[in-house]
Amino acid sequence: MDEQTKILYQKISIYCGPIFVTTFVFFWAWLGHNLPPPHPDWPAQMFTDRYVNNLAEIRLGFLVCLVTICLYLPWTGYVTSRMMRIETGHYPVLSYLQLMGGALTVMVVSISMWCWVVAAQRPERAPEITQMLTDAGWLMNDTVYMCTTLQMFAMALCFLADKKGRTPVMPNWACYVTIFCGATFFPASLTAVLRSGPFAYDGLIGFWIPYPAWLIWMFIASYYLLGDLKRRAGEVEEKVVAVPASS
Amino acid sequence: MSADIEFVPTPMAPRVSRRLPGVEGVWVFVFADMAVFALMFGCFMWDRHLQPESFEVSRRALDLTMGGVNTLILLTSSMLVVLAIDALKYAENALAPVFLGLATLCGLAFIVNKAFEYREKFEAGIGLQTNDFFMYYFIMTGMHLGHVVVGTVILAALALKARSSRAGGSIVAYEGGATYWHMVDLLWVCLFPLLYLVR
Repeated sequence: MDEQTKILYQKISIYCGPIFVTTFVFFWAWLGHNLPPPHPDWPAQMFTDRYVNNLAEIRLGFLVCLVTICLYLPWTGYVTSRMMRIETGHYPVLSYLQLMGGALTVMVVSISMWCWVVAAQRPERAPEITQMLTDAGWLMNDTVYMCTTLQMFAMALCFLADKKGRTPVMPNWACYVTIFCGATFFPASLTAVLRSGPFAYDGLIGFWIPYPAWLIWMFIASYYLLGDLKRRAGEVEEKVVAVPASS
Repeated sequence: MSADIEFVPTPMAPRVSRRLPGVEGVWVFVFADMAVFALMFGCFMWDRHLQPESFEVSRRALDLTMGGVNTLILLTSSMLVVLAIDALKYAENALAPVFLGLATLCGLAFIVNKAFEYREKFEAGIGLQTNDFFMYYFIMTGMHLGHVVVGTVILAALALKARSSRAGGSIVAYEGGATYWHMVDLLWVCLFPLLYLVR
Protein backbone atom coordinates (compact mmCIF):
# COMPACT_ATOMS: atom_id res chain seq x y z
CA MET A 1 0.00 0.00 0.00
CA ASP A 2 1.47 3.37 -0.93
CA GLU A 3 1.69 6.25 1.53
CA GLN A 4 -1.14 8.24 0.04
CA THR A 5 -3.58 5.33 0.17
CA LYS A 6 -2.62 4.74 3.80
CA ILE A 7 -3.26 8.39 4.62
CA LEU A 8 -6.61 8.19 2.82
CA TYR A 9 -7.77 5.22 4.94
CA GLN A 10 -6.58 6.96 8.08
CA LYS A 11 -8.52 10.08 7.15
CA ILE A 12 -11.67 8.04 6.45
CA SER A 13 -11.26 6.33 9.82
CA ILE A 14 -11.15 9.65 11.64
CA TYR A 15 -14.14 11.03 9.71
CA CYS A 16 -16.11 7.94 10.78
CA GLY A 17 -16.21 9.50 14.28
CA PRO A 18 -18.09 12.73 13.52
CA ILE A 19 -20.23 10.91 10.92
CA PHE A 20 -21.25 8.45 13.63
CA VAL A 21 -22.12 11.31 15.99
CA THR A 22 -24.24 13.02 13.32
CA THR A 23 -26.15 9.84 12.47
CA PHE A 24 -26.55 9.10 16.18
CA VAL A 25 -28.18 12.47 16.79
CA PHE A 26 -30.45 12.11 13.75
CA PHE A 27 -31.47 8.45 13.93
CA TRP A 28 -31.06 7.59 17.61
CA ALA A 29 -32.14 10.83 19.25
CA TRP A 30 -34.54 12.39 16.74
CA LEU A 31 -36.12 9.55 14.71
CA GLY A 32 -35.90 7.19 17.68
CA HIS A 33 -37.94 9.65 19.79
CA ASN A 34 -35.26 9.80 22.48
CA LEU A 35 -35.27 13.60 22.58
CA PRO A 36 -36.52 13.99 25.25
CA PRO A 37 -36.22 10.41 26.50
CA PRO A 38 -39.31 8.58 27.81
CA HIS A 39 -40.04 9.24 31.46
CA PRO A 40 -39.17 6.19 33.59
CA ASP A 41 -42.12 6.79 35.91
CA TRP A 42 -44.74 6.61 33.15
CA PRO A 43 -47.45 3.95 33.46
CA ALA A 44 -46.67 0.92 31.26
CA GLN A 45 -49.35 1.77 28.68
CA MET A 46 -47.57 5.03 27.78
CA PHE A 47 -44.47 3.08 26.76
CA THR A 48 -46.59 1.00 24.39
CA ASP A 49 -48.29 4.14 23.04
CA ARG A 50 -44.90 5.66 22.38
CA TYR A 51 -43.98 2.75 20.12
CA VAL A 52 -47.40 2.34 18.47
CA ASN A 53 -47.74 6.04 17.62
CA ASN A 54 -44.23 6.36 16.15
CA LEU A 55 -43.63 2.80 15.02
CA ALA A 56 -42.05 3.38 11.58
CA GLU A 57 -39.79 6.17 12.80
CA ILE A 58 -38.57 4.27 15.85
CA ARG A 59 -37.91 1.11 13.81
CA LEU A 60 -36.04 3.01 11.10
CA GLY A 61 -34.13 5.13 13.60
CA PHE A 62 -32.71 2.29 15.64
CA LEU A 63 -32.16 -0.11 12.73
CA VAL A 64 -30.10 2.49 10.85
CA CYS A 65 -28.24 3.49 14.00
CA LEU A 66 -27.41 -0.14 14.72
CA VAL A 67 -25.49 -0.03 11.43
CA THR A 68 -23.87 3.37 11.84
CA ILE A 69 -22.76 2.70 15.44
CA CYS A 70 -20.10 0.49 13.83
CA LEU A 71 -18.43 3.63 12.44
CA TYR A 72 -17.10 3.88 16.00
CA LEU A 73 -14.84 0.90 15.17
CA PRO A 74 -12.60 2.41 12.45
CA TRP A 75 -12.31 5.56 14.57
CA THR A 76 -11.19 3.48 17.56
CA GLY A 77 -8.81 1.59 15.29
CA TYR A 78 -7.15 4.78 14.14
CA VAL A 79 -6.87 6.15 17.69
CA THR A 80 -5.27 2.87 18.80
CA SER A 81 -2.60 2.96 16.11
CA ARG A 82 -1.95 6.66 16.74
CA MET A 83 -1.53 5.97 20.46
CA MET A 84 0.88 3.14 19.70
CA ARG A 85 3.17 5.62 17.91
CA ILE A 86 3.40 7.51 21.22
CA GLU A 87 3.37 4.49 23.53
CA THR A 88 6.17 2.73 21.64
CA GLY A 89 7.62 -0.63 22.64
CA HIS A 90 6.19 -4.04 23.33
CA TYR A 91 3.77 -3.05 26.09
CA PRO A 92 1.30 -0.47 24.74
CA VAL A 93 -1.17 -1.05 27.59
CA LEU A 94 -3.05 2.24 27.21
CA SER A 95 -3.50 1.68 23.49
CA TYR A 96 -4.91 -1.82 24.06
CA LEU A 97 -7.18 -0.53 26.83
CA GLN A 98 -8.51 2.14 24.49
CA LEU A 99 -9.03 -0.47 21.76
CA MET A 100 -10.99 -2.82 24.02
CA GLY A 101 -12.98 0.07 25.49
CA GLY A 102 -13.95 1.37 22.05
CA ALA A 103 -14.89 -2.06 20.72
CA LEU A 104 -17.01 -2.87 23.77
CA THR A 105 -18.70 0.54 23.66
CA VAL A 106 -20.12 -0.47 20.29
CA MET A 107 -21.57 -3.63 21.85
CA VAL A 108 -23.05 -1.79 24.84
CA VAL A 109 -24.77 0.84 22.72
CA SER A 110 -25.85 -1.83 20.21
CA ILE A 111 -27.40 -4.07 22.88
CA SER A 112 -29.26 -1.06 24.24
CA MET A 113 -30.76 -0.31 20.80
CA TRP A 114 -31.40 -4.01 20.22
CA CYS A 115 -33.71 -3.97 23.28
CA TRP A 116 -35.71 -1.15 21.68
CA VAL A 117 -35.79 -2.88 18.29
CA VAL A 118 -37.23 -5.96 20.02
CA ALA A 119 -39.80 -3.74 21.77
CA ALA A 120 -40.82 -2.22 18.42
CA GLN A 121 -41.02 -5.60 16.67
CA ARG A 122 -44.25 -6.64 18.45
CA PRO A 123 -45.66 -3.49 20.12
CA GLU A 124 -49.10 -5.15 20.65
CA ARG A 125 -47.69 -7.35 23.43
CA ALA A 126 -48.41 -6.73 27.12
CA PRO A 127 -47.39 -3.13 27.97
CA GLU A 128 -45.34 -4.24 30.99
CA ILE A 129 -43.00 -6.15 28.68
CA THR A 130 -42.53 -3.15 26.39
CA GLN A 131 -41.85 -1.04 29.46
CA MET A 132 -39.27 -3.53 30.65
CA LEU A 133 -37.51 -3.64 27.27
CA THR A 134 -37.36 0.16 27.20
CA ASP A 135 -35.95 0.26 30.74
CA ALA A 136 -33.46 -2.49 29.90
CA GLY A 137 -32.18 -0.54 26.90
CA TRP A 138 -31.66 2.62 28.91
CA LEU A 139 -30.02 0.87 31.81
CA MET A 140 -27.67 -0.94 29.44
CA ASN A 141 -26.32 2.43 28.32
CA ASP A 142 -26.50 4.12 31.70
CA THR A 143 -24.96 1.48 33.93
CA VAL A 144 -22.52 -0.31 31.58
CA TYR A 145 -20.51 2.79 30.69
CA MET A 146 -17.17 1.87 32.26
CA CYS A 147 -15.69 0.46 29.02
CA THR A 148 -16.22 3.85 27.39
CA THR A 149 -14.90 5.71 30.43
CA LEU A 150 -11.72 3.60 30.40
CA GLN A 151 -11.35 4.14 26.65
CA MET A 152 -11.46 7.90 27.21
CA PHE A 153 -9.16 7.87 30.25
CA ALA A 154 -6.57 5.74 28.40
CA MET A 155 -6.63 8.04 25.38
CA ALA A 156 -6.29 11.17 27.51
CA LEU A 157 -3.42 9.76 29.60
CA CYS A 158 -1.53 8.69 26.49
CA PHE A 159 -1.96 12.00 24.66
CA LEU A 160 -1.05 13.93 27.85
CA ALA A 161 2.29 12.12 27.87
CA ASP A 162 2.92 12.81 24.16
CA LYS A 163 6.43 14.21 24.02
CA LYS A 164 7.29 12.85 20.55
CA GLY A 165 6.29 15.62 18.19
CA ARG A 166 6.73 19.36 18.37
CA THR A 167 2.95 19.64 18.56
CA PRO A 168 1.06 17.10 20.70
CA VAL A 169 -1.84 15.18 19.10
CA MET A 170 -4.34 16.92 21.40
CA PRO A 171 -3.69 20.05 23.45
CA ASN A 172 -3.53 19.74 27.22
CA TRP A 173 -7.03 21.14 27.80
CA ALA A 174 -8.65 18.71 25.34
CA CYS A 175 -7.09 15.78 27.23
CA TYR A 176 -8.57 17.01 30.49
CA VAL A 177 -11.95 17.57 28.81
CA THR A 178 -11.74 13.91 27.71
CA ILE A 179 -11.21 12.84 31.34
CA PHE A 180 -14.07 15.06 32.48
CA CYS A 181 -16.47 13.75 29.81
CA GLY A 182 -15.59 10.17 30.76
CA ALA A 183 -16.25 10.97 34.42
CA THR A 184 -19.71 12.47 33.71
CA PHE A 185 -20.95 8.89 33.13
CA PHE A 186 -20.50 7.87 36.78
CA PRO A 187 -23.68 9.52 38.16
CA ALA A 188 -25.67 7.72 35.41
CA SER A 189 -25.47 4.58 37.59
CA LEU A 190 -28.15 6.24 39.74
CA THR A 191 -30.67 5.74 36.90
CA ALA A 192 -30.92 2.13 38.11
CA VAL A 193 -32.39 3.31 41.43
CA LEU A 194 -34.13 6.66 40.86
CA ARG A 195 -37.07 6.94 38.49
CA SER A 196 -37.75 10.67 38.64
CA GLY A 197 -35.82 13.89 39.10
CA PRO A 198 -32.41 14.90 37.73
CA PHE A 199 -30.80 11.49 38.30
CA ALA A 200 -33.38 9.41 36.39
CA TYR A 201 -32.62 8.23 32.85
CA ASP A 202 -34.42 11.23 31.39
CA GLY A 203 -32.93 13.69 33.91
CA LEU A 204 -30.36 16.46 33.77
CA ILE A 205 -27.55 14.44 35.36
CA GLY A 206 -28.75 11.07 34.03
CA PHE A 207 -29.17 12.09 30.38
CA TRP A 208 -28.61 15.73 29.44
CA ILE A 209 -25.00 15.90 30.66
CA PRO A 210 -23.40 12.48 29.95
CA TYR A 211 -24.85 11.85 26.45
CA PRO A 212 -23.89 15.28 25.01
CA ALA A 213 -20.52 15.04 26.82
CA TRP A 214 -19.79 11.78 24.99
CA LEU A 215 -20.73 13.20 21.58
CA ILE A 216 -18.99 16.55 22.07
CA TRP A 217 -15.81 14.74 23.18
CA MET A 218 -15.86 12.77 19.96
CA PHE A 219 -16.08 15.96 17.89
CA ILE A 220 -13.23 17.61 19.81
CA ALA A 221 -11.02 14.51 19.57
CA SER A 222 -11.75 14.06 15.84
CA TYR A 223 -10.92 17.72 15.18
CA TYR A 224 -7.47 17.40 16.74
CA LEU A 225 -6.85 13.94 15.24
CA LEU A 226 -7.51 15.40 11.78
CA GLY A 227 -5.16 18.30 12.44
CA ASP A 228 -2.51 15.85 13.59
CA LEU A 229 -3.02 13.68 10.49
CA LYS A 230 -2.65 16.74 8.25
CA ARG A 231 0.69 17.55 9.90
CA ARG A 232 1.88 13.97 9.51
CA ALA A 233 0.71 13.81 5.90
CA GLY A 234 2.69 16.99 5.23
CA GLU A 235 5.79 15.37 6.72
CA VAL A 236 5.28 12.27 4.53
CA GLU A 237 5.03 14.46 1.42
CA GLU A 238 8.22 16.28 2.39
CA LYS A 239 9.96 12.92 2.69
CA VAL A 240 8.63 11.69 -0.66
CA VAL A 241 9.83 14.87 -2.33
CA ALA A 242 13.14 14.80 -0.45
CA VAL A 243 14.11 11.23 -1.40
CA PRO A 244 14.39 11.70 -5.20
CA ALA A 245 16.11 15.03 -4.70
CA SER A 246 18.85 13.52 -2.52
CA SER A 247 19.43 10.46 -4.76
CA MET B 1 13.81 30.25 56.08
CA SER B 2 11.59 32.85 57.74
CA ALA B 3 14.09 35.60 56.95
CA ASP B 4 13.92 34.70 53.26
CA ILE B 5 10.16 34.81 53.24
CA GLU B 6 10.08 38.21 54.89
CA PHE B 7 12.47 39.71 52.41
CA VAL B 8 10.99 38.18 49.27
CA PRO B 9 7.24 37.91 49.74
CA THR B 10 6.51 37.04 46.10
CA PRO B 11 9.49 35.21 44.69
CA MET B 12 7.81 34.44 41.35
CA ALA B 13 6.73 38.03 40.74
CA PRO B 14 9.95 39.61 39.47
CA ARG B 15 10.61 36.90 36.86
CA VAL B 16 7.12 35.91 35.68
CA SER B 17 4.46 38.56 35.99
CA ARG B 18 1.40 36.26 35.92
CA ARG B 19 1.35 32.51 35.51
CA LEU B 20 -1.45 29.97 35.78
CA PRO B 21 -0.56 27.44 38.50
CA GLY B 22 -0.44 23.89 37.13
CA VAL B 23 -1.43 23.22 33.53
CA GLU B 24 -4.36 24.84 31.74
CA GLY B 25 -6.20 21.50 31.47
CA VAL B 26 -6.58 21.20 35.23
CA TRP B 27 -8.40 24.53 35.27
CA VAL B 28 -10.68 23.48 32.39
CA PHE B 29 -11.45 20.28 34.32
CA VAL B 30 -12.11 22.20 37.54
CA PHE B 31 -14.41 24.62 35.75
CA ALA B 32 -16.41 21.83 34.05
CA ASP B 33 -16.64 19.82 37.26
CA MET B 34 -17.85 22.79 39.27
CA ALA B 35 -20.39 23.60 36.55
CA VAL B 36 -21.92 20.13 37.02
CA PHE B 37 -22.08 20.68 40.79
CA ALA B 38 -23.59 24.13 40.21
CA LEU B 39 -26.33 22.51 38.11
CA MET B 40 -27.01 20.05 40.94
CA PHE B 41 -27.15 22.90 43.44
CA GLY B 42 -29.68 24.56 41.13
CA CYS B 43 -31.80 21.38 40.99
CA PHE B 44 -31.62 21.14 44.78
CA MET B 45 -32.74 24.74 45.26
CA TRP B 46 -35.58 24.25 42.77
CA ASP B 47 -36.93 21.17 44.55
CA ARG B 48 -36.41 22.85 47.90
CA HIS B 49 -38.52 25.74 46.63
CA LEU B 50 -41.29 23.24 45.70
CA GLN B 51 -41.28 21.37 49.04
CA PRO B 52 -39.92 23.78 51.67
CA GLU B 53 -41.40 21.99 54.69
CA SER B 54 -40.11 18.51 53.90
CA PHE B 55 -36.64 19.92 53.15
CA GLU B 56 -36.51 21.92 56.38
CA VAL B 57 -37.64 19.01 58.56
CA SER B 58 -35.11 16.70 56.89
CA ARG B 59 -32.32 19.25 57.20
CA ARG B 60 -32.76 19.29 60.97
CA ALA B 61 -32.04 15.54 61.01
CA LEU B 62 -28.49 16.19 59.77
CA ASP B 63 -25.59 16.14 62.23
CA LEU B 64 -24.28 19.70 62.27
CA THR B 65 -21.28 18.80 64.43
CA MET B 66 -20.04 16.12 62.03
CA GLY B 67 -20.54 18.44 59.05
CA GLY B 68 -18.76 21.24 60.88
CA VAL B 69 -15.82 19.02 61.85
CA ASN B 70 -15.49 17.90 58.23
CA THR B 71 -15.47 21.54 57.11
CA LEU B 72 -12.62 22.28 59.53
CA ILE B 73 -10.74 19.17 58.38
CA LEU B 74 -10.93 20.22 54.74
CA LEU B 75 -9.99 23.84 55.42
CA THR B 76 -6.97 22.64 57.42
CA SER B 77 -5.96 20.28 54.62
CA SER B 78 -6.14 23.11 52.09
CA MET B 79 -3.87 25.24 54.29
CA LEU B 80 -1.42 22.33 54.55
CA VAL B 81 -1.40 22.01 50.75
CA VAL B 82 -0.65 25.74 50.43
CA LEU B 83 2.22 25.34 52.92
CA ALA B 84 3.54 22.35 50.93
CA ILE B 85 3.57 24.34 47.67
CA ASP B 86 5.28 27.24 49.45
CA ALA B 87 7.88 24.87 50.89
CA LEU B 88 8.63 23.61 47.37
CA LYS B 89 8.85 27.15 46.01
CA TYR B 90 11.26 28.25 48.72
CA ALA B 91 13.31 25.09 48.18
CA GLU B 92 12.44 23.78 51.66
CA ASN B 93 12.01 20.34 50.12
CA ALA B 94 12.17 18.47 53.43
CA LEU B 95 8.98 20.14 54.66
CA ALA B 96 6.83 19.49 51.57
CA PRO B 97 6.30 15.73 52.12
CA VAL B 98 5.39 16.41 55.78
CA PHE B 99 2.70 18.93 54.84
CA LEU B 100 1.40 16.75 52.00
CA GLY B 101 1.38 13.70 54.30
CA LEU B 102 -0.65 15.61 56.91
CA ALA B 103 -3.06 16.79 54.20
CA THR B 104 -3.49 13.15 53.10
CA LEU B 105 -4.36 12.25 56.69
CA CYS B 106 -6.97 15.03 56.68
CA GLY B 107 -8.47 13.49 53.54
CA LEU B 108 -8.62 10.08 55.25
CA ALA B 109 -10.17 11.65 58.36
CA PHE B 110 -12.87 13.22 56.20
CA ILE B 111 -13.65 9.86 54.58
CA VAL B 112 -13.87 8.08 57.96
CA ASN B 113 -16.03 10.84 59.42
CA LYS B 114 -18.37 10.67 56.41
CA ALA B 115 -18.64 6.89 56.75
CA PHE B 116 -19.76 7.32 60.37
CA GLU B 117 -22.25 9.98 59.34
CA TYR B 118 -23.72 7.74 56.63
CA ARG B 119 -23.91 4.78 59.04
CA GLU B 120 -25.79 6.92 61.54
CA LYS B 121 -28.32 7.81 58.84
CA PHE B 122 -28.72 4.21 57.66
CA GLU B 123 -29.20 3.01 61.24
CA ALA B 124 -31.93 5.62 61.69
CA GLY B 125 -33.64 4.10 58.65
CA ILE B 126 -32.82 7.03 56.38
CA GLY B 127 -31.69 6.20 52.85
CA LEU B 128 -31.43 7.47 49.29
CA GLN B 129 -35.15 7.10 48.67
CA THR B 130 -36.50 8.44 51.99
CA ASN B 131 -37.42 11.76 50.38
CA ASP B 132 -36.04 14.28 47.86
CA PHE B 133 -33.90 16.05 50.45
CA PHE B 134 -32.06 12.86 51.39
CA MET B 135 -31.76 11.89 47.74
CA TYR B 136 -29.82 15.12 47.16
CA TYR B 137 -27.99 14.73 50.47
CA PHE B 138 -26.67 11.25 49.68
CA ILE B 139 -25.93 11.91 46.01
CA MET B 140 -24.25 15.31 46.39
CA THR B 141 -22.20 14.35 49.43
CA GLY B 142 -21.51 10.97 47.81
CA MET B 143 -20.22 12.54 44.61
CA HIS B 144 -18.17 14.93 46.71
CA LEU B 145 -16.83 11.99 48.70
CA GLY B 146 -15.76 10.38 45.40
CA HIS B 147 -13.79 13.56 44.68
CA VAL B 148 -12.24 13.40 48.17
CA VAL B 149 -11.14 9.79 47.60
CA VAL B 150 -9.50 10.70 44.27
CA GLY B 151 -7.94 13.81 45.85
CA THR B 152 -6.56 11.85 48.80
CA VAL B 153 -4.90 9.40 46.42
CA ILE B 154 -3.41 12.35 44.49
CA LEU B 155 -2.14 13.96 47.72
CA ALA B 156 -0.58 10.66 48.85
CA ALA B 157 1.10 10.26 45.45
CA LEU B 158 2.43 13.83 45.62
CA ALA B 159 3.70 13.25 49.19
CA LEU B 160 5.62 10.20 47.95
CA LYS B 161 6.91 12.16 44.95
CA ALA B 162 8.06 14.99 47.23
CA ARG B 163 9.99 12.46 49.35
CA SER B 164 11.68 10.81 46.40
CA SER B 165 14.84 11.95 44.66
CA ARG B 166 12.71 13.32 41.84
CA ALA B 167 11.16 15.90 44.16
CA GLY B 168 12.99 18.79 42.54
CA GLY B 169 12.36 20.07 39.05
CA SER B 170 8.91 21.09 37.92
CA ILE B 171 6.34 22.28 40.42
CA VAL B 172 3.53 21.89 37.86
CA ALA B 173 2.35 18.47 39.06
CA TYR B 174 2.10 19.70 42.66
CA GLU B 175 0.20 22.79 41.58
CA GLY B 176 -2.23 20.70 39.55
CA GLY B 177 -2.93 18.43 42.51
CA ALA B 178 -3.26 21.42 44.84
CA THR B 179 -5.73 23.11 42.47
CA TYR B 180 -7.86 19.97 42.39
CA TRP B 181 -7.78 19.67 46.19
CA HIS B 182 -8.80 23.30 46.65
CA MET B 183 -11.75 22.64 44.35
CA VAL B 184 -12.76 19.67 46.53
CA ASP B 185 -12.54 21.98 49.54
CA LEU B 186 -14.49 24.76 47.83
CA LEU B 187 -17.27 22.37 46.76
CA TRP B 188 -17.67 21.25 50.38
CA VAL B 189 -17.71 24.86 51.54
CA CYS B 190 -20.70 25.32 49.18
CA LEU B 191 -22.34 21.98 50.04
CA PHE B 192 -22.13 22.34 53.79
CA PRO B 193 -24.24 25.51 54.13
CA LEU B 194 -26.57 24.40 51.33
CA LEU B 195 -27.48 21.11 53.01
CA TYR B 196 -26.81 21.68 56.72
CA LEU B 197 -27.35 25.37 57.36
CA VAL B 198 -29.78 27.11 54.98
CA ARG B 199 -33.14 27.38 56.71
